[in-house]
Amino acid sequence: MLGKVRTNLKVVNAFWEKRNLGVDCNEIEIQPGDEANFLKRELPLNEAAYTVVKVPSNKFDVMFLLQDLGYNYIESSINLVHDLKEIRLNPLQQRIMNSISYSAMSNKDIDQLFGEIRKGIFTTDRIYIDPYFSHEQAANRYVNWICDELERGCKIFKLTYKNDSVGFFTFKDMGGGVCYPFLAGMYENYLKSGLGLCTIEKPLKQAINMNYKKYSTFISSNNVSTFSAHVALNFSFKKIYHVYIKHIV
Amino acid sequence: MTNLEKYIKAFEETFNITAEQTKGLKYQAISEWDSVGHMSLIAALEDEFDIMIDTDDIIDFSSFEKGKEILSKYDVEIK
Repeated sequence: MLGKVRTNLKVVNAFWEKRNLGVDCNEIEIQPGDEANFLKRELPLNEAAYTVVKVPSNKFDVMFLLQDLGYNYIESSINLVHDLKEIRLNPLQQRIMNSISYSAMSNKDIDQLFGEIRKGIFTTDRIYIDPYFSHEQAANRYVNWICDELERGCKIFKLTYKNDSVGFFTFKDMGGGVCYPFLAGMYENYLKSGLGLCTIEKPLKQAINMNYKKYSTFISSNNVSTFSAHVALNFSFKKIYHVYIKHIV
Repeated sequence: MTNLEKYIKAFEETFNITAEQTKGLKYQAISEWDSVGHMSLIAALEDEFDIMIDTDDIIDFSSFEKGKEILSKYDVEIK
């Protein structure tokens, strides 16, 4: 039966992807102790129509095994953290950031955000770039994800420049003084404005204002510009895992 | 050095490209010209021409050619 955990392999039946993408999806997280021989036997038993496998970056034998089993590498997920002691900006960055404000979103703002997402402001994630899925599905998945997180209590903020909404960021409490702004972006008209840094600087500011101790986030290796913006704002690298996918048609 | 030479040099040094590659160059056409690269380019131009570019103009600075138009507003003629 698809999606059922039958071994001690760490398998999550990602039931929400059935709603988002219309396929049964299992997400498998390879653990440090998972041996290649064990995985060779167990992985095929736990595959769904769409299977996502997350591999710690030092499990080289597993990377080769996944290719032998018909998996495709699609991205690496990079965990970056900030200690929230100081946001270091150069004078120009400071000047630009001072011209942008942020505030909690109203329902109307959220509708606008969903409209922007459906215009296709995110183009590097593993669903968008996968020819098995449509760009519309990729966008709807973000909308559903935000709706789910709002129900779980996350906050969502709009970024404003001269009374115009230019982008957004989310803000999720992970407990223990850690926050996770899981999604942020610029709106279509401002995608090429050079203001992208504000999607990171403003949540940092919010985290400091809320007395958080740590800001933790995951960046896709497909999104080099976002990675570069985090480096510019002095984030530290924590860990990386590689993501492989397989479709069974 | 002419203003055009200074202008091209700012692109070359910021994005590590050749003068030839600056022709027709647009924002995000190369990975180096992202939001961080954009800030570095603007900072280099402000230093080079001793000007302070308005945020509206920083947003509009979408290409090598557009930049020339924008700098003319600050009495920097790029010819």
